[in-house]
Amino acid sequence: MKKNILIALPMILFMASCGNHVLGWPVSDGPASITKVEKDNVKVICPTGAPSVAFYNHAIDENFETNGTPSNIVSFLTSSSPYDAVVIDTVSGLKAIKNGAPFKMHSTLTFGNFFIASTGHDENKTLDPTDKIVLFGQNQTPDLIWHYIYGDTYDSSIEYVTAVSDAAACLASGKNVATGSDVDYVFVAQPVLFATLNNANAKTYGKAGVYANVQELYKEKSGNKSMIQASLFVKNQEEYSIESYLKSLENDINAAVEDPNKVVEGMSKISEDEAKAKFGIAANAAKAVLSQNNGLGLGFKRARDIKDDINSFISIFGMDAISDEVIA
Amino acid sequence: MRSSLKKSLYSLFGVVIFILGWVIISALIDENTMIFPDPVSTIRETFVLLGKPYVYKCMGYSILRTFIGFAISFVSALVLGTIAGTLPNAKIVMAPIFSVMKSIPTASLVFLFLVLAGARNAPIAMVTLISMPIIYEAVVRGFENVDRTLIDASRIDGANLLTRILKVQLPSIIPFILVGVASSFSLSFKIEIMAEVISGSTTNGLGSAILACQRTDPTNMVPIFAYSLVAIIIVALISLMFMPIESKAKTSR
Repeated sequence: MKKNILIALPMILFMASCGNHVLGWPVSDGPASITKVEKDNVKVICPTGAPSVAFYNHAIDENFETNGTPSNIVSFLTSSSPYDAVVIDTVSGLKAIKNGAPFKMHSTLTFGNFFIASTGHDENKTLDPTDKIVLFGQNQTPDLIWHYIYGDTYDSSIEYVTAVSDAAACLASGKNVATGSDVDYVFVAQPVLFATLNNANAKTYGKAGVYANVQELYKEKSGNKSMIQASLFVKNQEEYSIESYLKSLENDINAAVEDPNKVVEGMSKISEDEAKAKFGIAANAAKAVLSQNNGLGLGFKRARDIKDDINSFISIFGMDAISDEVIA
Repeated sequence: MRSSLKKSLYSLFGVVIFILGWVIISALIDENTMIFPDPVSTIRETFVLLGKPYVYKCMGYSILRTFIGFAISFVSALVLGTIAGTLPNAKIVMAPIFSVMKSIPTASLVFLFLVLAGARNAPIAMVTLISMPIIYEAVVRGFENVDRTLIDASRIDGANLLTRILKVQLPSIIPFILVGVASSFSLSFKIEIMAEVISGSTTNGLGSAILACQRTDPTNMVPIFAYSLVAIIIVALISLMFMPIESKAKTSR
């Protein structure tokens, strides 16, 4: 009897630990029958930069917080998180859910803000394997996207830098300061690209420019799918719903894409410097980048409506397709 | 009088060497604005910053958070230092704890506090943790240096432990505490700014302002240098404020 218990106990523990997971993704226990109450003070955290611009109407909202170091935001995808919604890059958010974070993917807010910029050095003005290319974030999103689009054709010409700020420095100087080599093309993101191209003190000022829109290259390669960059994840709450908050966010985003002046109106509720700190971008810069064919890649699409795009995007990162239970 | 004038001249000489070094390095590095701005553009930008109310808000909030963290650490260090100073076994128990506190890498603590206290409060927790061992050690050292005859005399007079601590030992260790406070407050302010940057906090603060400059225009280092100059001025003012207290405390020890 004692022996049987000893054999059964680890099995019970194993089964209990698998209870809410199938193939790594969480699975719900069945449809909830509780009517949820709409929450008033919805607490949200978002990284500064492109995704935070979506919240331009929340400049003076104390419940809307931003963080200047995107990787720090993963720490808030826990059960003790004080936030009802967390905006983070899609891959990190989904990985956290796979590891047990009590959140669900609700919608995607940015659909890519990557660009390939030319320093103006390349005489034939065409990207080829003889050109020197700078990429930021080795083995991270920019690197993986680049290789998804171009394969290994340019690998011998690539030099890596750590962050987008380093890539911007290469674009501004036309040189990779770390290696001393002359640079022809730089993989960079908005809104840093806008600031760099408009820096009159930069050595490449007036010569540098946008060579290619990575989002368009991605669409061509993937069969018209969108790049699923930053998404909003909602905390699993049995009593509360934040749907009306998110509906108003959707309206704000659509309004801003249609009329970028709305962003300036919203962000101007605080001083220019405070807005730069809170959103990681000045109001006028956000307006200018949005006006350039929505250079921030802002949008609002429910995860359930773009499941194929999500699965296609995360497959680049070696992740399995998501189950319906991951989606809010 | 003559010696203080000589001291001031030497200090001035030090400042001149610093600025000269700055000019030379900035001239040697080709990318002036992008990597190492020169003193002229930095000072010009500092004056621009000082004309903005936002900068004073940032200064105020950074100083306030430093004070809060420092006050928590001061009270805790005083209580724990008093216990360790009066009970030798308690000092042995606390020794490894404070050794660990002193040697944990600051950066990894920020990530821990980020989860526990949030980005807004993580810098306060950092200041508390960094300055506490310094003040604690000052308190313990003070207790160790209290004149034994004073303690014996109070014992003969029939004073109990609490009276002895409050009326004999604590007043005697004040100079040691003041030296500890003076040497750790400037450090705490620097830790506050660094913690604001690492925690990615976007609330008002000098570290947050530096981070915002780096994020919005990474190709322009001038505002970052200017904010750093503002921080240097604040630290220098704090050090100047503490200087007479520190020298008085050192002579009375």
